[in-house]
Amino acid sequence: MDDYEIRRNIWEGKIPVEFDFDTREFTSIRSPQSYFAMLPRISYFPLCLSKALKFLSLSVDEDIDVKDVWLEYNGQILKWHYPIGLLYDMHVADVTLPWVINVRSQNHPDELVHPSKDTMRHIFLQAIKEADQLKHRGQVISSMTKDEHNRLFDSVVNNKFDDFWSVNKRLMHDETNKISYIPIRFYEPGSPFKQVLISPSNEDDSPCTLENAIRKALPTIDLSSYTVISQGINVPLNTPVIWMARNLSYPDNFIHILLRKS
Amino acid sequence: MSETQSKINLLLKAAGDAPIMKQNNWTVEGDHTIAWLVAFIKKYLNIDVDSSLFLFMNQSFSPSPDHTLSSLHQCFTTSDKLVIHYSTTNAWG
Repeated sequence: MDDYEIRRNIWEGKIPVEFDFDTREFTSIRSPQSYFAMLPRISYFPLCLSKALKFLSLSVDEDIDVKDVWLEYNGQILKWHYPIGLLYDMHVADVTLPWVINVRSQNHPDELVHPSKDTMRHIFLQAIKEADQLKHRGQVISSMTKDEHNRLFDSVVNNKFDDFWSVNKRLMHDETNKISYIPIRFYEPGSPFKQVLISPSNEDDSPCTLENAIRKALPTIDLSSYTVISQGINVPLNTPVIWMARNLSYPDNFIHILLRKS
Repeated sequence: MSETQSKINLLLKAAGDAPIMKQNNWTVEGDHTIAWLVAFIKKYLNIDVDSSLFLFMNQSFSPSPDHTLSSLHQCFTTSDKLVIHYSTTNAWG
């Protein structure tokens, strides 16, 4: 049920990214105009941009902060509060690496959250609270100390797998509380995510599979024409969702599933 | 039929020192997101767009800005009414 190797590999998944600084918006930029980095799938762009922005600041002779910029790929805004791996699965249909992202400074989109570390911490912890509300009626997260909450976020910032799981294991395996519902979100490009109540078991007591869950969340979808992706993996439709929750969840405790027309 | 199903009955309650809304019962499209609701409440209460406004479900967590009201209703409400608290401070941490 609990697969350490898989959890470890998921945590260590990285994406090579090329940040291109928009030369129409950063007019004083000196070449070179790109910055390359390997970014953890499980992290968030606002937590990973300091080196790229330091590099940019040197090229334009002024201090550029994360709040001064926003990211765009293929004409689409990259949301600050989505994990990097989810954004990649969402926006990149053909695997061409590195992932070339445009760093922009003008026409800030209203829909972006403030990219400060405090805002990111807040959004991240609220997602974990919501996930625990689904799993254990919020009882496990509310029994944790503020220090434990902070350790969950700080271990993502500092990329510390063992620190994260020393706290997160209680959210995944609580002795007194069985999991009621699986925190899972379904994304189709261009629409808001779908989230419904998914129990670990079907009514006939068989384990609820990914296919069962998709049919519940998106009853009209023709699954034969979709590719189902999570963590960059084409997940087999017969995978039990309880196994996915424990092994394929992002640190925010949600399984993020992308449905892409194939 | 689809029209009545896609509408959500929403009850907005002030928490902390947030100003009270004179009209607090609304019927809105279920496809609307939390980001839309934040903008709606700020406009109704004349709160500056740049100031903070926190929304809370079940007095326990702030939903993601991308959550639709119908997803929240399905996952966290047993009655036909979706109750959301709003506050200018982070009332429930």
